[in-house]
Amino acid sequence: MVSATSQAPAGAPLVQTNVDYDPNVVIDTQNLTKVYSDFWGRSKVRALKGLDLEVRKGEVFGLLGPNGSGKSTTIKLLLGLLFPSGGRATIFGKPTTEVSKNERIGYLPEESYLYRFLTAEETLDFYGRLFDMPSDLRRERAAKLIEKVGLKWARRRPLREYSKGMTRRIGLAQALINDPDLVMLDEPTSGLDPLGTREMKDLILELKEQGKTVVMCSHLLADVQDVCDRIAILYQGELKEMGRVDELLEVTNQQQIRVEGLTKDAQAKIAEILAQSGGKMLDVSSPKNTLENLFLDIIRESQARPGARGIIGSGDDNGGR
Amino acid sequence: MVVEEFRSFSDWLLTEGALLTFVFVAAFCAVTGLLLGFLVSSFRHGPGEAFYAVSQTVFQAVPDAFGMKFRRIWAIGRLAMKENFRLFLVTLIIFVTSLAVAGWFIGGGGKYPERSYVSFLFFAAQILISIFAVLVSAFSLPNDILSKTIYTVVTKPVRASEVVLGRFVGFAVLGTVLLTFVGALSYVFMVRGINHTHELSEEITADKWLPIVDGFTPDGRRPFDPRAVFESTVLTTRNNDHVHRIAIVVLDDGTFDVVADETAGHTHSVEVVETDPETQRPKVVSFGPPRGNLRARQPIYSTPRGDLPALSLTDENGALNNGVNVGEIWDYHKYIQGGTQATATFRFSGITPQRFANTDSVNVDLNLAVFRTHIGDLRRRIEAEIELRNVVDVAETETAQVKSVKIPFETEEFKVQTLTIPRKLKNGTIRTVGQPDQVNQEFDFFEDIVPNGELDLVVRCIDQKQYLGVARASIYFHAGDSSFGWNYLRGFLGIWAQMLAIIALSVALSTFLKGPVVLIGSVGVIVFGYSAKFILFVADSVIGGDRLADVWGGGPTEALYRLVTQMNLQHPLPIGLGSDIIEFVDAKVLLPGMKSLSFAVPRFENFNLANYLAYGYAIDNHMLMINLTTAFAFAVGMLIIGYFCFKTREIAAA
Ligand SMILES: Nc1ncnc2c1ncn2[C@@H]1O[C@H](COP(=O)(O)OP(=O)(O)OP(=O)(O)O)[C@@H](O)[C@H]1O
Ligand SMILES: [Mg+2]
Repeated sequence: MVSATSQAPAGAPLVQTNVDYDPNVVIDTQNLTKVYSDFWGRSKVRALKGLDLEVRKGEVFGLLGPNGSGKSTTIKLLLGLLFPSGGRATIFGKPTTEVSKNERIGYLPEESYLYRFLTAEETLDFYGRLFDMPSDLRRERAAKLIEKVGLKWARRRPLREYSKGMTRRIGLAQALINDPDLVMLDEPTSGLDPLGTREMKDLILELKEQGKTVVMCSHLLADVQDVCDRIAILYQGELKEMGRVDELLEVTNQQQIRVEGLTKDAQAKIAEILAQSGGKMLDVSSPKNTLENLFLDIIRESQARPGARGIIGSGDDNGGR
Repeated sequence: MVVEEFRSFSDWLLTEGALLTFVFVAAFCAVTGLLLGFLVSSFRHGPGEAFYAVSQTVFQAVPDAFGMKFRRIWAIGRLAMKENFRLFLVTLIIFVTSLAVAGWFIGGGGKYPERSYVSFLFFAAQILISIFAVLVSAFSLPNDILSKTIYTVVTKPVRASEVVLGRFVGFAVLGTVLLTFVGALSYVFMVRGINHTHELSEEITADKWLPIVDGFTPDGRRPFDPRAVFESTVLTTRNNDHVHRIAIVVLDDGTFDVVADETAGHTHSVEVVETDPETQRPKVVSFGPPRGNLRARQPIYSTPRGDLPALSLTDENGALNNGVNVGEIWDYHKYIQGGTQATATFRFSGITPQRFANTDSVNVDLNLAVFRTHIGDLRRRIEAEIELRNVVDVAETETAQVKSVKIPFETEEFKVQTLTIPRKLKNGTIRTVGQPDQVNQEFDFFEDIVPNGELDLVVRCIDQKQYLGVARASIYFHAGDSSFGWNYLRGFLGIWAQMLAIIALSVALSTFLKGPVVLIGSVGVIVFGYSAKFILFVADSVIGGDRLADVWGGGPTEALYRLVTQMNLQHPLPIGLGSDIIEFVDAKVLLPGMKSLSFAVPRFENFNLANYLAYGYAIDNHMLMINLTTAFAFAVGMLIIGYFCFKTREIAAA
């Protein structure tokens, strides 16, 4: 997946090139590093350490990790809200500081940072203007999205009167106002009721169906498991695990067999075969782990053994870091 | 009114070096900005990377400038307006309240009520608008960043230039609307405050008719001389804190006029409503609205002609000099001695019949100062004369006829005095080289005196031992008045220009500073701009080294030292290393720095055009253009700085 790891140290050139731009690669980061520094340039927090990431068109990509592991930092770097301290990142083959990339991006921040004195309609109208949309298109989109996020009943109320979940919903509508090709959702389900969570998941799948790319971070692992194609797990700014969800959760050293209508005879034969090879038949199938277990395992392991971990499916063992 | 600066726009821009200063300041800012950016960037990422980053930023400015979309700028502007609508209302309410309060103490009773009105209203409007401008623009962007609402904005295809310009536009529109309200309200307030009429304080009865006074102007024409009515004992009611005396003035054709004297800067027209059937004397009169308070005179000042200055003085022997020093340091007048041949010559051009609507008389306004060396006859005024003289081509001096006419008058001090010069002039003199003078000539003012629009106006003081003070603005031809309302609007344009400058300044500072810091910074810059003249004055004298001759107390460090040690200003600093350091810091570091900085900041006091209105003069077009250009140039510079600061700012790192 990721081509050869760039071995550039932190502080390496921020040179952005897109000579080898592949239209199927939506997000590409190489050795992306972020050090938060104070006013005097002294480093405070190493929030992201050499992240190599590639998100392809049409994927639903999940960023996981405990609090403070660098998920939001990654998203902000990708959006150009933060400048990388090292490494490089491109979106649609463009540098992250390029404004025009935003035409095709929708972003739902970790909290909905919206103007509290605007109503839902005014909010969407405002963001629509920022996309230079003509007024009839703005009105049409706004009406549709307000309907979609279920806020029609409150569309004329200023956001300062909104509950957390309502704000979250209008935040989502805001992220979709431009019918984006890439949607970045920072904890999309936080604050939502069970119904809202359900709708959010449906929405993500719907976006996927439309061929859009979704990058999300979330702590609700069951949800991630339901919707994500691939995930990356961050721990203290380091990438600990990345791969396809179905591959990651497959327990490869066990098989599960479930059959129907097997005769006693056949069963005996299978048991015999198993006995010959020293096994004892329980049930034949590949059982699925839960993402929750995988996550906790990785975090526990990372706590016990700090440092890089081999990554499945990344096509590169990152051993050097 | 003290007009000390006669500047034409082109002189200001080119000769005085405004354009050059702008180019220089802009170049300086550009170089400093590049250097600073490079230093900060190389400190973080190393010099090679820094070079790349800086050039990247510079090159991206091009699409950021040309890729701006009006819809986005306006969206951000509208948002900024909505955000501050409450402050807008509060400011308006404060202004209306201050008007209500002011109504209690600004009366119409002073000598010039319009002056108290205008100076109060302009002061209030200027302060209020400035505070409003600083407040809205100082906190908007910092709060947006603090509350992170900016995240959802800059992750849209919005350029840094649009964020900065949009804010400026929003605040400017909001401020303009506020200023419109403030201007309209204050105008109505003033006009209503000044407008009034009177009634007779007592009935006119058979044993007390209106007195008849001698009220002719020297040529027997209207307008009559209102001083004459001083003698009358018939008074009007006291309205707006003043009364008028009224009397009958008989005109030379045998008709008469009932007139009110000039009090509080105005008179009223008086109409006879009812006359006594027997004597035909007026019994009941009614008064019109006040006349003379709210004016916008359009003066034609003297101008330099070729190498000759606009105004030149000669001494008693006819030799050019600089006037007599009467020992009044702050007086800007130059004095000529009375009873001698000392003259003051004003050179005019552009005196054309078209400009005076071909009337049969032309007004010359005089604002002369008088310096008395002896009391003389206190009830008499100082006598003087003006001589009007046509200007002949130097090449034709030999053959040309110099036509001149002398008009004697009595000076009125402390007010604008109008001499009405009839078009048909009597008692003229024609002087031709080598021939005896022809006297008692009759001239047509436009045809004989100013055939080419040019004339010399020579002033002499007739009373011996008295002195007459003149300045360039003391004498001007008065072509007519423009509308006061229109002039008032132009006065508000000055405040508007100042508002734009302040908004741009605060928006620029708010791209990299926190709200309260922006507030302090903006106020600091404004105060600095107001004191730029003084700073230049101090800097020039301290840097020059000849301190005793000029400014007491020295530069900022020395002043601080004196303040802390409570040292007398005249007392020299103790000799030693300490004072050497103080002097070095002042003369070599601080003052040169402040001096250079003072060229980058507008002279804010120039934005106040209230004096023109208060004294009843049309605001000079050149002055207005200079103001607007200064404000726009400053605003553009500030917005560009703001753009680069915002562009290079890491928004989520705050
Ligand atoms: N503006 C900032 N200045 C300094 N340090 C910061 C800043 N923002 C984040 N950090 C630090 O960077 C690290 C990563 O933060 P980040 O917000 O990316 O975590 P996260 O994975 O999104 O966590 P959460 O699950 O709680 O949202 C944390 O240690 C945090 O303290
Ligand atoms: Mg986060």
